[in-house]
Amino acid sequence: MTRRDWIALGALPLLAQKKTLPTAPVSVRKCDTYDQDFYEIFSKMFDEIGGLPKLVRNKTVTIKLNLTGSPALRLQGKALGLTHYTHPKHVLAMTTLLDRAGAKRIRFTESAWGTAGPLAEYMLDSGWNVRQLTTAARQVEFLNTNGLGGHAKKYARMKTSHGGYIFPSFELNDTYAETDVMMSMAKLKNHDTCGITLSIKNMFGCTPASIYGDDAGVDEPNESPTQGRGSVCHAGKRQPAKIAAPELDPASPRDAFHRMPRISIDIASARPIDIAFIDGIETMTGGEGPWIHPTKGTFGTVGIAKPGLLVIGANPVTTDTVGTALMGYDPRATKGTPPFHKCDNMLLLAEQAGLGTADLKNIEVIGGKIADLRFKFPMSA
Amino acid sequence: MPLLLLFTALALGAAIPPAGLIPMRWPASDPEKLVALDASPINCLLIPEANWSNAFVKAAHAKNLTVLALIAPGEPALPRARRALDLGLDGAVLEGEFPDQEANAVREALDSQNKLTIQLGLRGRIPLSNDAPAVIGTFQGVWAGINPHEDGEAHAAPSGAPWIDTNAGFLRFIRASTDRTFWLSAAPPPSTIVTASRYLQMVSDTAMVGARWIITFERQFFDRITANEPKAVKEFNRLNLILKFFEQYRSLQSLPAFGQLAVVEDVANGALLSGSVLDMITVKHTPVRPIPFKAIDPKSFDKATMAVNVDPQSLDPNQQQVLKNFTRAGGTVLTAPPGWRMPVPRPGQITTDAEEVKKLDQIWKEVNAMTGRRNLGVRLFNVSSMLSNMLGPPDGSKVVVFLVNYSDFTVDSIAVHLLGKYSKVTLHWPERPSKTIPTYENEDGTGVDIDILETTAILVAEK
Repeated sequence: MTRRDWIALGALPLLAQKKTLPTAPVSVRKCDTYDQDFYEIFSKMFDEIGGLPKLVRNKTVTIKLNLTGSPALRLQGKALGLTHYTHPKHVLAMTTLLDRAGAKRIRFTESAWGTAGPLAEYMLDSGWNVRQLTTAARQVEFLNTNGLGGHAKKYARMKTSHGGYIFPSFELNDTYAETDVMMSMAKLKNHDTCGITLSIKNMFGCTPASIYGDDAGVDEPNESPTQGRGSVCHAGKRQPAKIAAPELDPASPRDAFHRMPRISIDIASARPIDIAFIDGIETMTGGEGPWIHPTKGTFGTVGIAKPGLLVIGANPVTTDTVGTALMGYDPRATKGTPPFHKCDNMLLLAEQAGLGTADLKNIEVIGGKIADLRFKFPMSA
Repeated sequence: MPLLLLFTALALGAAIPPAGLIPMRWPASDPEKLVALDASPINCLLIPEANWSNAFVKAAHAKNLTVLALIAPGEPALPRARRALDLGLDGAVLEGEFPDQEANAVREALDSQNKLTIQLGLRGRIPLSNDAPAVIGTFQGVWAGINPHEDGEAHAAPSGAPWIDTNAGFLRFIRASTDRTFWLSAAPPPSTIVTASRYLQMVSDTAMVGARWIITFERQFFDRITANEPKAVKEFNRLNLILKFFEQYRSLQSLPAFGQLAVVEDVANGALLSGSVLDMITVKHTPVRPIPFKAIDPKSFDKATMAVNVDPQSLDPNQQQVLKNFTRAGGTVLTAPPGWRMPVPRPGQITTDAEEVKKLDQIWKEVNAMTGRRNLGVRLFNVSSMLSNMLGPPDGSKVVVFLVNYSDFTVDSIAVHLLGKYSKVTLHWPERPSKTIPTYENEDGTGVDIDILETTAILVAEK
């Protein structure tokens, strides 16, 4: 990080206060098991933040799932939904709820790890009952957005609203442009690079590996990607395929702790989130997936936890701010203080980009008090 | 039963024919400890030389156990085998590398007394001809399962599943080459904590391809079992359950390999190595039919749509013609690139080495591209910790899918997509009663879901 970056980031909270930042209420629930009537629970939570029908009636709703890493990787043999994937029971209940609220079409998306094959098969490999999900609403689609995926005819250029920290725009599967309502269904987790991964960071999975992947074409997308996005995004060792806009400043730090929080905000700015959902009933701690080393990760530990929490909001910044506080962290912590002990605070970066407030004083929390519900994640106060 | 096998069975004079022997290495000499086997289907004990005694043999025979002398290379084998017979043992197992002359002398001596000789030699020298003995085998088994690597951790990255070490690949080739009973010797790795489930995995790894693992426990675990320690006995009973299960469905294990992908290879080009083409395909859960060179004829490609020809230069003109006819009839043949040739396995070699893996990668990418997401008999989902084997009669009236879980954890929500229409699907598993499971139509033909799988299961689909 340069001196200029440091000063700018240190001044973020002050600068942010001067602007009127978007805010929206956040609904929280204590919920200890997955054996619950989530249709009923989610209905009430949506009612608390303003109601679902007016948001989704006759709309195409895209649900960005969190299916990070290969389905073959399990933490201590646990089902994926109990540690680092979106839980299928939540998805089923949400689908039914959206359908009854009048959603015209429900699309599940993810850029599935290392493949451009059908998302439905990836979900089967994750142990999901795809047939049940298919019949839960009038029109349900499963789209792998790691490339065009055989369903989109083209990529759509989606520009950031704030000009971008790293990228000014993203070349995404056209599905994201054809979306009326964008929902991010995330897990309450730490992230080895970004400190936290909640509804905003989940959107990183929208980027197609065909363009942003390690084996992306130099000029044109590689529609059969098999790699992750480490070279282009995390390390900045190469630029995306030329179909996409290159980085704004190729001389900026080539440091994942600098780049990834910023790229996450760029993506959430280019494809705004309308509904943010965070599952913290059961989850993993110390990282975003089972590939994080149990002792050598940035949190120095990896484990399984049962915080017993659900969070829903209409603004991803307010929702993630509440989520961060529920993890026992200060959402306004600056670099050096956990969970941002290694990286820049993406919530403050989101504030600076004008996406929403990260100040708990300006966020209405409904359904419980943070102090009562807080669950201590690693390195929290 | 072929005459040779029948003769051997009769000659042995034992109640149990060689094919029915369930072998276990028994490192104790105290007859009292045999009580541990009272509820076990294990019926054949391999006894190290230091523990041979007439008293033990008598006690074992009283429990209808077959007792075989375990002879390792060292002192001349023949006098040792004779001593074993004098003590009343039922035969000998030559485990390791023995000169042909020495092994033959033992076999002749034991045959003359109607006793059994089993040779567990080098993989590359397993007798696969029509005059092979009733029981063949090797001492060069792989300790199957998800094994830790040099850094002490299983292979793990966001990219994929841990590699499962297995004997299934080379045993498929054996099964395609001969109908003889096959025994595999593999011991738990030293200095490693072996959970009880690893023993279950070894039994299942071999049984799903119709072979038998010579049950070999860590000494400490063995001692706990024979000391009647409740936890160890409980774990041993789990193993007995799995053994009984595979005995119950032994007839299914003898069905030929089924599926639309054939792999043409032989001993000289790596068919008996672990980690070779067959294992790579196995890990992808693609049903595969190994075709040894001697078995190449038009019938062997019946119902196949794709074939991998690992070493085309080694085929004779007639065999090459069979493959040409296969392509003319619409089949796809993937041939290794010109000049590509797997090195001839070295004596004693068990697994592919780094150089060979690099070489295999050249054709593996092509195999992967050719098979892709195609359903070549069955597609399995959510099975990253598992391996499978698809068998079935050539008429396609039914198919059998063996499933083995190599993790210490129960697997749930497995989806099975069978190619073609099947009217009835039954699931057999050791821990629960068999049940008919509901089918549904899908783009491949028939789908079924398996809610839960603990160790192993056999799925039988009938037209």
